[in-house]
Amino acid sequence: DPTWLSTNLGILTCIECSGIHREMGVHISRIQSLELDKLGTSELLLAKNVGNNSFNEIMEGNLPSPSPKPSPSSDMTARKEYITAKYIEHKFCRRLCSSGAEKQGELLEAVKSRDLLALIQVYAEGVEILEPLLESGQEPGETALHFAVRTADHTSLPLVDFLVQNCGNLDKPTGKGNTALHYCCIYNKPECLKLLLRGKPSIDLVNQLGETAYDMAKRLKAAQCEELLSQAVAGKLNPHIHVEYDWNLRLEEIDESDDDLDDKPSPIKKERSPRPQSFCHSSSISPQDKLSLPGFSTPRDKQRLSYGAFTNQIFMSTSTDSPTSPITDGPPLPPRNAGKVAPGSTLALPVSTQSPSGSSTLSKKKAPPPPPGHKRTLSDPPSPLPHSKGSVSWGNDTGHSPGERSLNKFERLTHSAR
Amino acid sequence: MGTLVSRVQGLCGRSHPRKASIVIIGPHGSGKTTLLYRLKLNKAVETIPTPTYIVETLIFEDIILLVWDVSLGAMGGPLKKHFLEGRQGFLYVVDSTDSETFSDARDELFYNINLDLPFIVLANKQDLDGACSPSELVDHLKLDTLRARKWDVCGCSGITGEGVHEALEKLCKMIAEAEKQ
Repeated sequence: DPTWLSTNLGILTCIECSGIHREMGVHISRIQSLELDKLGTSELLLAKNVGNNSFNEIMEGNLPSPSPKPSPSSDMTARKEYITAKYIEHKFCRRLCSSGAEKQGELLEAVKSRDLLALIQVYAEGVEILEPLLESGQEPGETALHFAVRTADHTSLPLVDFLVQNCGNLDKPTGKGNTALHYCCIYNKPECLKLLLRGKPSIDLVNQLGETAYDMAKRLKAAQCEELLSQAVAGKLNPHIHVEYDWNLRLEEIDESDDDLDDKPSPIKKERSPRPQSFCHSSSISPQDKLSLPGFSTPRDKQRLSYGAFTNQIFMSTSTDSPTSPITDGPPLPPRNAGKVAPGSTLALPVSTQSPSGSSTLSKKKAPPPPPGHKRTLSDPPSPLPHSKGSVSWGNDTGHSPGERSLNKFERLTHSAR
Repeated sequence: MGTLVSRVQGLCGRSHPRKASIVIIGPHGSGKTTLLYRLKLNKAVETIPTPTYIVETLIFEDIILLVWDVSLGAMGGPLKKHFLEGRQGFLYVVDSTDSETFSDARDELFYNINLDLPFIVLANKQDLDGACSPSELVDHLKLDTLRARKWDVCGCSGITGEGVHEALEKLCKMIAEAEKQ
């Protein structure tokens, strides 16, 4: 089940592979949940424009046969090996350029022609994104990012986003000391500025004229840029900022993620388990209302939650409507928070401090041995669990979430300990 | 069985072992589960994103700790305070290489969390290049505006295990002090 999104690469993965993606670090892949995280349009820009198919065409263009690609039933070590080779070493990507100069040329060409896939191709081949471009543009020492910002319009925003998220250093100045932030102000590109600010560049760098980007925006009367920068200086910029972009979504275009290794041969989605009675009222509010709610619970919900402290069910958000990305929710105002955690979800509250007298660790020292089976579950790391379950994935099958599992066992333990 | 437990404990001369329950919270992917199992098993485990929470018991020095590893993501932010009810303290884990999450982490820490509990901010992933130091993290999270509260910040790495036990030791001390008052 692809329920996790790598926001800097624009691909969907399953929960097991997302664990490995996370482990590689955020400079390789930044994983966010489609269900548990709030995704803004800025995060979805790449997801909309890349997708697993196109991405794998590039990154797996040179896959040796027999394919080392793990299947949904592969274990963690096989997955890890493959994912490391694919994403860190770029071992399987197709190679079109031989020399570094050729790669630089392709990089410029990709940005010029606004071809995101060509950009990913040169990225996969290990181009030095931060090297100044060969062809000197407006100023000496422009990098691809500068160039992309300077020439940006609505169609090239995904390229800017990709460069911002994958170049590694947003503060690289040109020969005149202008960073990409300065460029946004010079050429008045507020949308690029939003994308850049998400990557947390240094705001206070000055160019050779001694101006920060903010000074520059003021001087050039770039009102939108000025406002964004002043928010950023105050540290109040909304990280899930809305990016103006022509989303151009048609129904059939809905990004069904496809054959990534990470995807399960998805079993038919089961109807979600019926919600607990007491929460049904909240399902009657419209999606719009849900989005505008501060969290997803109404005050009444919260009250119930604090009273209903003994519910141990966790209803994860397997909404019946669509298994894929929130992009499906429609273009004009793409969802602030990918409202997938259904408002009716009950989240089990910690059952207030139960004494852990029967726990495994303790039992090793003094307590009588717990009933068979318990010890193992309590002290086992969670990772092997999903695999031993075969193709049952956690996303759907909330009954198997480790938390609940250990809680239940734990509870049973405490009960029996009394 | 409960009587049996206490009788065994009594024989060992420890009729009332100290107990505390603490929570590990922090943004997605900050390394909470890895830290939890580093504390429990003292080894690095392969983790996958935790959909909700994990509870483990561990004995640390003379305290029995019930540790909740709570991962609700951005959508469950307001629920976090319920997980903190009745706890004695918490660890707030931040990925120190990921400057993009700092502002979210700051907001969560300041608005969603009951800061009367003693807590430790863990600057995790110190083993990676580009990790900011604990003192830089204090600046990023503007923790110095919290001077009156009981908090501390530690660098650590769930993968290498560096600094993890020291941080827990510190938290246990803070909890003990808070209980005395």
